[in-house]
Amino acid sequence: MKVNDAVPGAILIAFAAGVLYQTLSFPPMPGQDYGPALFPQIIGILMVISGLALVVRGLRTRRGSGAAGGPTAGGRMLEVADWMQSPAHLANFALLIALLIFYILVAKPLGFIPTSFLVLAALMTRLRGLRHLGSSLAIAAVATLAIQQMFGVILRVPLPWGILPPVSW
Amino acid sequence: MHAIDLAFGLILDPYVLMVMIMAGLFGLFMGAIPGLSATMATALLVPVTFFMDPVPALAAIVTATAMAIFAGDIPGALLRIPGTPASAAYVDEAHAMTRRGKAELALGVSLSSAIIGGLFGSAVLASSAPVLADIALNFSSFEYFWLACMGLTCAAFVASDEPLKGFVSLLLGLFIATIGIDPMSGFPRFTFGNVDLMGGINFIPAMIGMFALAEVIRSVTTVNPQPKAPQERIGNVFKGLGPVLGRYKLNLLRGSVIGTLVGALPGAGSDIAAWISYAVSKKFSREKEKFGTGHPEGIVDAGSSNNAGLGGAWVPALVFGIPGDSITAIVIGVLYMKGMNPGPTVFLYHPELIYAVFLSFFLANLLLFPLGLLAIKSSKQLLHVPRGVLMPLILMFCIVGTFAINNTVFDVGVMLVLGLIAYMMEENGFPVAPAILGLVLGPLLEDSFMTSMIKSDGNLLAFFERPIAAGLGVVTLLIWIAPLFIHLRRRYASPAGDV
Repeated sequence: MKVNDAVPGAILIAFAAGVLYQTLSFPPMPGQDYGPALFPQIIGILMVISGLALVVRGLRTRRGSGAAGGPTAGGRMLEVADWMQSPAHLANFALLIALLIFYILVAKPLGFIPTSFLVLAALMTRLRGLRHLGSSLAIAAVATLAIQQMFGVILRVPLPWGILPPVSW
Repeated sequence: MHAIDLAFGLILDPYVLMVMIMAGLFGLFMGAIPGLSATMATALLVPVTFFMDPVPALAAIVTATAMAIFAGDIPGALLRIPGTPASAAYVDEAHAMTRRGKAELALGVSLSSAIIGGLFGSAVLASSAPVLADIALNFSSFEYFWLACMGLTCAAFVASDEPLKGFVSLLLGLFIATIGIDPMSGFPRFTFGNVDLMGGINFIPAMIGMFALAEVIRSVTTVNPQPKAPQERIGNVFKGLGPVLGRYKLNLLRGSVIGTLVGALPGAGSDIAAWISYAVSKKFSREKEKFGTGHPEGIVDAGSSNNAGLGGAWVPALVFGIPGDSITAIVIGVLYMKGMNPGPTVFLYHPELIYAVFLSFFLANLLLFPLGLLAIKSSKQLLHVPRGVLMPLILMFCIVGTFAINNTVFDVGVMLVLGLIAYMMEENGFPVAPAILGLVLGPLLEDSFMTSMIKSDGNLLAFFERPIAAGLGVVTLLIWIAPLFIHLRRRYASPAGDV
């Protein structure tokens, strides 16, 4: 999704305003003129200035030619990328994000091995199609065990066991 | 000399050598597959190196990046798709050679110029870094402030087509660096009472999200189908190689020198080195008209340049703690994690570790010979790996690698959020590398700035009182003013006033 420069500019200004507001409540350092608020405040002010520059530039290209192209949406406020008009690619994107959130939520109760297998199998099946279901499931299983072996056993990362008994091999 | 003996001992350890070979194979794989870059290889390697001693950890990164930069030439020559951005400058040339039936020669030239350039960069690194470190020992917070400013400015302005967007990306990185407990006052900033945020945003989840997850998102949403793997067999890459290298030996030297210098420039990495070298090669060539038609001259220049740039980028990273490119930005994060705070003192306290890193550079470039040949021979299989299998595996690597650092899924959430932001940024022409540089250099910049402000009682002139600080400060200010000046000149040059 490509947007006119004015959009990130406005977001940046709003964000910087939030940052600056937050810094007002930072306490000063006793006996010093400069406290923890100074540096974030400088960043916030620079953000506002660059945000304004983006907005001005965005509005200028909008008023000027309507030609699109280049790294930005050019004349239009919003230019939908090719993939966003393709349901298949939208589904890829949505599934990828959903699987990450799924991992964050269930990895601990369910355990690494089942969660990783589900994530890998779901995404591979989605990307390669049901035609390759068998091989996708097999790759997901082998990869999960390989990652568990590499990180969980060799590098001793405490990957959660969840519903499985913590066996070691 | 004692430190050098120790360094040889550290590097010639069978475990370290094994790590280097594994990292080399990993780097070749990542570099050869379009869409997976040397930076991404480094990002995915860091969680694994987290568990190693400093020497194998750094040797692994050195080897993987040297291999990945060369391997990017393979799909460039065979498919006209650069495997990494560093090969983009000469894909057309290399592919034109393949079309004329000279794929072997193109790859042979790529491999040999990569090795020579890489060795040259290593030699410059090993000889110049200790000298510069001696000078840097005299630096105070004023000099470090200007150095950090200069590094960040170059990253934002030199390395991107749109300086304003590079600057915004940099500010975002600097802001993220301020999250967490302020080391000076002990006050938690922007944490909203969240305990996970108190320690700040760890740079590993940030970097994996911005460099690796963003790439996975781009890959699953890309409409272009995966390119067909080449069918032809690759024969002897050494056939006819000798005369070409002999004829262009000055190009090898020129490419290596330019690559090392550009690499050492903060913010500009191997990709920019390759573009500049290719352009220089064309400009000064006696056979300009042959460029673009499958002429090896430009490949010699640019192929040696991008590998030389890798070594060059480590010079400011090790000596001053200022990254030369996004790979060394990651390296600096790794150095901090290993307790080897980059800067001149590391040359005093851990000289054997520094020499071991230098040795690993030479060794990695020598390893490039057998492993590079292997990659060329197996290029058909490498380019055949389906994206639908690869991307889910990389996703799982991102998750587990992120989790491994602090053993918390909070970091996985950080990776997800920053990956989405980085994806949206790149879609709209905002470069991501300045944000990572800002994140890594933010604490140094703030610390040197605050220390200087307190020392000088808020007198900004004190930033220019010491001679080196003044010099660095003036150069930095000039870089800041230059875009404005160019803008004004262009404005007066075109009467319409639209730029």
